[in-house]
Amino acid sequence: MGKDSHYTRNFCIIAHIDHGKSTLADRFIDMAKLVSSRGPVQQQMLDNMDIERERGITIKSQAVTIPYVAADGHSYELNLVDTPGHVDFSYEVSRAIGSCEGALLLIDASQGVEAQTLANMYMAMELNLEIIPVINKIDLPSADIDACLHQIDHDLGLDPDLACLVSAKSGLGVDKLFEAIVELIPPPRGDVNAPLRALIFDSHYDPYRGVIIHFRVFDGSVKKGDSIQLYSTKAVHTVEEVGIFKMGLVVTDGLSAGDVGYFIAGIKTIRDIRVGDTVTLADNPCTSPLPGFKEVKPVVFSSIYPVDSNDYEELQEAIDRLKLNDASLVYEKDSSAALGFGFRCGFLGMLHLEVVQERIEREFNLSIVFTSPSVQYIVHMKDSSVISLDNPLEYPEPMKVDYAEEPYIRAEIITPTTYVGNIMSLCMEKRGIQSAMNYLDEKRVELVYEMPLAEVLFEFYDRLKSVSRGYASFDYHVIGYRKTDLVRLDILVNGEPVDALSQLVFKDNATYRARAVCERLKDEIPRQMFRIPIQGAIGGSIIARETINAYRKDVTAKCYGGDIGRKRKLLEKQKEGKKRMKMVGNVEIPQQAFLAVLKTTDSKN
Amino acid sequence: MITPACASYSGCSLYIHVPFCIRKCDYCPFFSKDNESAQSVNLYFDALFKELNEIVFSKDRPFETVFIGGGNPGLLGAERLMKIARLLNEKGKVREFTIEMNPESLTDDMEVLFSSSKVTRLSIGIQSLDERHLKTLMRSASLSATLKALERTAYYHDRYGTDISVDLMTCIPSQKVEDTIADIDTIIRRGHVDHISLYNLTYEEGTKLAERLSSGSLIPIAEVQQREFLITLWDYLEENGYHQYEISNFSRTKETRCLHNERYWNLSDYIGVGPSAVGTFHDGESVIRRTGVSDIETYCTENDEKRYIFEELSSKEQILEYLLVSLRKNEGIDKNDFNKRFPIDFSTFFSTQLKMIERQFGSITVDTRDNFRLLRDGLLLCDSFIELFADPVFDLSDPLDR
Ligand SMILES: Nc1nc2c(ncn2[C@@H]2O[C@H](COP(=O)(O)OP(=O)(O)O)[C@@H](O)[C@H]2O)c(=O)[nH]1
Ligand code: SF4
Ligand SMILES: [Mg+2]
Repeated sequence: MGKDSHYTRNFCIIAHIDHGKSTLADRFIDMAKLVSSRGPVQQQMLDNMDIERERGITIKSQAVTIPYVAADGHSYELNLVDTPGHVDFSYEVSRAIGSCEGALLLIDASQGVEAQTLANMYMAMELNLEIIPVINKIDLPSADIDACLHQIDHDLGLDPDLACLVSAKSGLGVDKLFEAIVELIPPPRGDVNAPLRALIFDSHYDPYRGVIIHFRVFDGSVKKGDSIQLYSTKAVHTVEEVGIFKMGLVVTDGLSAGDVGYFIAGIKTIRDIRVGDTVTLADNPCTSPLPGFKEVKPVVFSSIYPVDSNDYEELQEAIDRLKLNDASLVYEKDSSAALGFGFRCGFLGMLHLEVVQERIEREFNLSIVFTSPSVQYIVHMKDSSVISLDNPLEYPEPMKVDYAEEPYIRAEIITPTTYVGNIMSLCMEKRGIQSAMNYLDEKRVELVYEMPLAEVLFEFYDRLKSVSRGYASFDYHVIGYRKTDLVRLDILVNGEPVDALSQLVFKDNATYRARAVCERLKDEIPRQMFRIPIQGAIGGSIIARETINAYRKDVTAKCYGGDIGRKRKLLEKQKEGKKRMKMVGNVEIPQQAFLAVLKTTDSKN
Repeated sequence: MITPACASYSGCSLYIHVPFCIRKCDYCPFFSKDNESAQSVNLYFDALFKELNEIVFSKDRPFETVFIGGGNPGLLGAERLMKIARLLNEKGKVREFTIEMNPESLTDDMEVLFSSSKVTRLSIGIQSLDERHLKTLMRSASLSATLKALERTAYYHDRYGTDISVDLMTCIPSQKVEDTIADIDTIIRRGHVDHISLYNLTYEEGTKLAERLSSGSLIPIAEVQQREFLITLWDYLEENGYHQYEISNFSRTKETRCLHNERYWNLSDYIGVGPSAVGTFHDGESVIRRTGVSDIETYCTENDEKRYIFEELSSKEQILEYLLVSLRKNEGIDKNDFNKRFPIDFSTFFSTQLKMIERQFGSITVDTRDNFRLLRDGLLLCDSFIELFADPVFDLSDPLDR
């Protein structure tokens, strides 16, 4: 405290995925000599989780304070807030951005402006951030700087003269960028003497210290021993420690208006705090919270079951542990006739679901099965009651249903003109309704569609990439509910419905979907002792059918006394190998089959 | 635990493993050495005889059954085998005393074993009577030696009432089912056999044949065809008066079944003596598995703690083994016996499996109040049925309390 916030700059980097956000953040850290260039440097320092590094995406926001001596001779503190890079996490992005005064809008020189470039820029503009356009990857032979400058001017409406040219990879131009940050991004405003008003933009769980809250102080100050209050829940906690982010947590005496840092206040679980919430002092509260707080709501739901029912408790522990660091993961106990005990979970999107799946399998070494993901539907009953549901098993008797509604999104797609035709037919197939088509320039078009969320959740993104050879980019947000024609598709294996494979589908898609699922199951379920029919059914009527032929096993050889133990061990080994199978009735369904079906959400190509 | 508790009471069986062969066969997974020196055989015999002496000394009655197997026990020679036979018959006559032998070892001097009636049963490892197939298997016996052996078995059978058994193999690469039928004809006609063990060639890990299979230099008989072979042969044996009583065993009468093997399959107590020999017996409430270390020198020089490995079988393991052996028998699973042995009720515990079997396999199984068994076509799926029944057993928690 007592330092001058005039020498502080809070900024974030926003970009379309893969445009180099994490790489640039690394360069900043290197250049600021925070990280010795001699030591073994982890790639992309800010992406802490293995999965983030592997997939090259940022899932959680991170922050770091970089000391910088500018050309004017003054020492500055540059607070970089790294933001998640995927649409699933756009609310977190908005909170992270909200804790800054400026944003570096990164554009890949070989790709130009893409959908998330625009979406992120709008978000930053709404929050009144100073935006510095940065053209990255200028070292690439395919870099087209002139085109980028033109797009900055034309598509983004920003001043191309302000653009910085960098190579985040080599570090070229990064020193100039530092200067631009100091010059162009305003120092934090805010009243140190006003009551505390701070924004929570993230948090993480530390097994030894509890929840560590990442926050930005807008007004007032906070120090160890203060009683703070969380605005949304009114809960009061005593601050045990405050500090800033360097390569780890560094304790400071306190933080005041303009600072970005963390505090620890004996908060046991991440559920007790909300990203976007306002922190104030209990005995001297601010009069109004910071704007923009909202509860993040999951949009995709699926149940997780252990492949081996004995692993149920381990699964519970795994999910509990994940939840410690992932407030957006919601879950409750669930059970299925086919799969036993499990958990119904809500996710922010398919990526979020995949990340959770991978982490459970990898970090906790559990084999799990996911049921078909679903969005949340609103069902209007004939008795005029209304229910909302995401679990196909809860779908009421069709006779009693008046009509159902499903969530719709507004999708913004930017594509080179060449692929407009392909994309339009893809969107049409996905029940999209075009609401705009804007030519950004001679070569690129922005298409705006309203589509059911259920259609884009499942592999729309992959299809879009393939029909546009990777050139189209995409962003979406939920706009509300619309009437739909919904049916429940059941899958029967050997005559028994496998509840885990039931799904709610748009009626006209049901037959395609049923066929695709049956075909996939036929490929994935190994032949067994008897013939196994696989059927897709709506109500009582079968709409798709496949058969797995019987498989006959070899007979055994002689069985001497000494063989008995050996044969038993063989049997035990075999059983071990079948652990990744789930018994449904008498049929062993491998985990792979469930996963394959999960991906079989589109069948029309 | 060093001296098996069962050694001191009757109703126990004895298996002796003789780990010597003339030449190792290419398909053989058993522990045996070829080309062992006379000195090594002597050392082995001394150790074996000493151990048997101690065991017999501690007993007040003879073993119910004895089986000397290998390897090729014939390589011990008539004199040593006779010595063993005398010793084991000391406390009274052993009801069934089997010696296994390869054809070329069945020399004239072996007659005394049978004429003395000390050895009641002779099991000859013939495998095939076709030079081509013998070559695939790399058997050491020549065809003429094998035919000569059959002459002798016929003679022992007729003269001394020795029960004769033959091991026969089928589904050898490039074999035709007619080849095995011809083998069966010859064996029956010439050997006067009471009992035939017929099994299909399997490729066991670590054998030369398994290597050849994976390198592609050997083409196995296709699975479907193997099944056809077995059906044909099972029928043929039945027509000729050899009744299947276990998946790979056929006997003319109930009396000529192999009592010793039946005791394995009933999980009765038996001890195994010699390198790699396995025994299973009760010790109070627990069931102990004792396995000889597969090393001749260890057997000759060490004490029981070093040359045998002891493990206690959990109830779960016992149930698995019970299922495994019972389902192979024509008589199948005796539900009452099962319920007596284990703290679970067969029909209740396996109700899901039994219902499913009734629906899907009603025609190839028999499920009565007292029994569950596989019919001929069911036996062809024996492994699958074993797996099916084993499945819920794996989920049991150990130990099971009564
Ligand atoms: N040639 C070149 N490649 C870069 C540059 N910046 C980033 N990349 C590469 O672009 C890919 C995406 O970068 P990343 O920082 O993970 O992007 P993010 O998704 O925005 O975080 C990686 O393979 C980087 O190595 C650059 O300046 N030049
Ligand atoms: S004779 Fe018998 S024990 Fe010896 S190698 Fe051949 S099959 Fe194996
Ligand atoms: Mg990244």
